[in-house]
Amino acid sequence: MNTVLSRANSLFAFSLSVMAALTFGCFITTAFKDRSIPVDIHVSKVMIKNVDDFTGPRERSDLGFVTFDISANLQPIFDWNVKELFLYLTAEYSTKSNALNQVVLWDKIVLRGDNTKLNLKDVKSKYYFFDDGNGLRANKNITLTLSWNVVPNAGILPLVMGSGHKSMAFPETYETSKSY
Amino acid sequence: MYVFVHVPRQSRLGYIATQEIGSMEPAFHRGDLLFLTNRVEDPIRVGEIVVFRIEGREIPIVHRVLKIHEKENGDIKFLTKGDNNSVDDRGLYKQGQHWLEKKDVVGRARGFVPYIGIVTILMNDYPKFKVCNVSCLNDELFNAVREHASLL
Repeated sequence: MNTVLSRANSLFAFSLSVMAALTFGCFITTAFKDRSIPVDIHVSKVMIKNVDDFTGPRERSDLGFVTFDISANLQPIFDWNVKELFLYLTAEYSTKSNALNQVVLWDKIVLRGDNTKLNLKDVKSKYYFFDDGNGLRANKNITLTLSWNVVPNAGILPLVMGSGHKSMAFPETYETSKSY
Repeated sequence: MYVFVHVPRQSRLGYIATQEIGSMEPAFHRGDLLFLTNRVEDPIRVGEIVVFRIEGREIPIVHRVLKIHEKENGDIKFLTKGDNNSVDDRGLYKQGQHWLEKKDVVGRARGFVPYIGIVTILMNDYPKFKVCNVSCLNDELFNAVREHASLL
């Protein structure tokens, strides 16, 4: 241990070991935490149209329009090992042609340090709510849930669903006017 | 986000090192290591981060599932999008392809460690770094041998 290089080498190796231990500590102390919180979802406006799916396969499909409110307090989820929460609002339903459909209507990234109180009103969906076919009309049971992907500093990437969901139904007839 | 994949053929658990583009920021950056599982019986659901390969292209992509339509017999078609992209991945798929299927999936991201892959990226971007690494190690080895030789 008498050259600068060998001392630097030992120091570097030691730092790496310490960082590895800290990283593992971050992971193991939060690996089994329950990251679910209650969520409140309300739906204020619902409409349905039947148009050519211009986002992809050009078939005539049902296009749903939903305006919703979300409120939740995300503060309890954040701890020393949560870097980011990827929130997404899912509409889940089943139709004659598909047993299970899930469509993400809206998403948001919340970083550590951002405002954690979510209180959104009259939000329009971010992504087009196209069905694979015509299964939305008169569909009585569409379930809206808010979920999040917890992105840690190091460790597991769990998907957690918030407790509290909202059931909604689409009308029997298509909207023909240009309004929304 | 394009990644450099190390997924052993037979095993269920693989890993990926070094993303190249920031389409999944701020969650993952260049140089992060993702742990994948590839259990075929795991259902594909929205919100999951999947690693998939487009037919005819070698490099796999790591993005999030945005939409799924699953039939009763288990046949599923789904759409993906990178967190940091403003549009979904249909522009990346093959000409005329609108959906991905189970067969396109290479794995699912379950865990993550930051910064580990940075060494591989540095070695690829700056070949001089590779040479420097090797020669430094050589010096160390030489010194160590010399010390032990003098003790004999």
